Amino acid sequence: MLEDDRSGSRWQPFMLTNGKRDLAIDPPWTNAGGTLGFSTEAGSLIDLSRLGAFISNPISLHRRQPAGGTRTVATPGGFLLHTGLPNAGLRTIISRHRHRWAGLPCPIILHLISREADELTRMAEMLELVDEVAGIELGLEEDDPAIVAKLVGATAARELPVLARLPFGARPATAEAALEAGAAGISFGPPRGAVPGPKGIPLQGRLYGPAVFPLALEAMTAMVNAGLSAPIMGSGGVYRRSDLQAMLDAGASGVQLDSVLWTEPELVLGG
Amino acid sequence: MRRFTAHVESLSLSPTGQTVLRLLTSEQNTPRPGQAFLALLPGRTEVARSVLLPVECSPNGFSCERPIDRAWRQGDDLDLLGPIGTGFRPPVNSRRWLVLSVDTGIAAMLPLIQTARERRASVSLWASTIPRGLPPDVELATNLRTSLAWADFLAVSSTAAGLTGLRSLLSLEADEHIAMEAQALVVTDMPCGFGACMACGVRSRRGWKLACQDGPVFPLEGLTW
Repeated sequence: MLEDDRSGSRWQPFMLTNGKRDLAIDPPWTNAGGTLGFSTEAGSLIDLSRLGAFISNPISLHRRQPAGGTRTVATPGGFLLHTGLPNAGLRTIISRHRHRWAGLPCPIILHLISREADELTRMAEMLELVDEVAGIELGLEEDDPAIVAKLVGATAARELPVLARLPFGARPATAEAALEAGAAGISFGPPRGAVPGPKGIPLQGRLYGPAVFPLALEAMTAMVNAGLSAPIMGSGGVYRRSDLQAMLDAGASGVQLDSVLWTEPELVLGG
Repeated sequence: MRRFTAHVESLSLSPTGQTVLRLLTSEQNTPRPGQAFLALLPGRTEVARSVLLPVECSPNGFSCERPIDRAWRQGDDLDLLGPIGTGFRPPVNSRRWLVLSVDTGIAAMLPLIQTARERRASVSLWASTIPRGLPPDVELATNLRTSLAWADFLAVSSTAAGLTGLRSLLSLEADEHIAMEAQALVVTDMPCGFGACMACGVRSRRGWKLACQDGPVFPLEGLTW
């Protein structure tokens, strides 16, 4: 176990490996996909050298438009966010950001989204030609072992190590299916929820904020206790260094940081 | 955009009953009307930054309404990101300004009205709720169509949703354009402030724009409304 001089935290790096390429996550915390954009958007506000890797915003094969209507709603201890995961499509994003990725001080992981295995295979093939990209995080929406195995398999058959981001609270069986299909590690998306919306129709979205942390710690611990043979990254509601440490102490190999990066990143990253 | 500290020098009540913060900063530049800031009180685990829109600007700071869900007090030192955007840019030669608040209140337009007075431009104001304490030389518009014909600069404050009702409010035909410089302050949450979270998207004629990157003041003709 290593010691972080700046904070006194206890941690050690971990490796994502698929037998073809290895990706060291050192230190073992990253941003969560969807928090820092596609490359250098955070500019001087966040020191990316303090992250073990940079994870991009969600990227689809084709362009996606933002969701209409209300996108943020405050909740007790947090907020709900619904964006529609807008992005310009993988080819355009590579064209726009590749030269910026080359200058980032940590490995680049692209967060890919699709419900179609064929699309994911195409995207993974495209990324094999992009030397700046060190890994893939696959955003998965279904807690269904068969579906997850198919989508992970379509991606992990290529060169880059794949981190399977499962929906919050996914069953260990789904994680096992992802690993058997070739995933090199497991991470979790934010919990989803709903708040009252216009015309009585609930507004659904992702939940962020400190109120999420107890749920996230429990979900992560349950996955650790399942005895999976691959790294697990905890995430959700980490707003203090002690939250991050609690995730690691509970058995997480690493931790993903989300909306704290928009408020006071130094509380977790130091500096 | 920079990250800096702002000291809460005092609190007061606005004519509409809102708590107004007077913030002192070390920033050299006076905020422009329509520029935004994102603020939090450090060390309190505030879950997101609040959008601050100045209601009065001066060389060493600005005043703004306190967000209703924040208990910031006199003496607090706030952590600010900003300024966001370049604010309103009224044409130099414009002398008849129509200031229109669709669904946001007019507080954020007060610095623009002050600018108009400094430039000796006349102001006609339309808002769903007219606050007390307006400068006496601000005329209240009663017929927007007439005011639109009179004006040579239009400044709008609206939420993104409110923009969809603007054409109807102005009694404009579907394909009718506004024959003057027109700019819109789109009031929206900006959780990250640097173009990553995609929560502040505004529909434009050339796809989507982000209020935190491309606004929050936009050329009105560039937006879809």
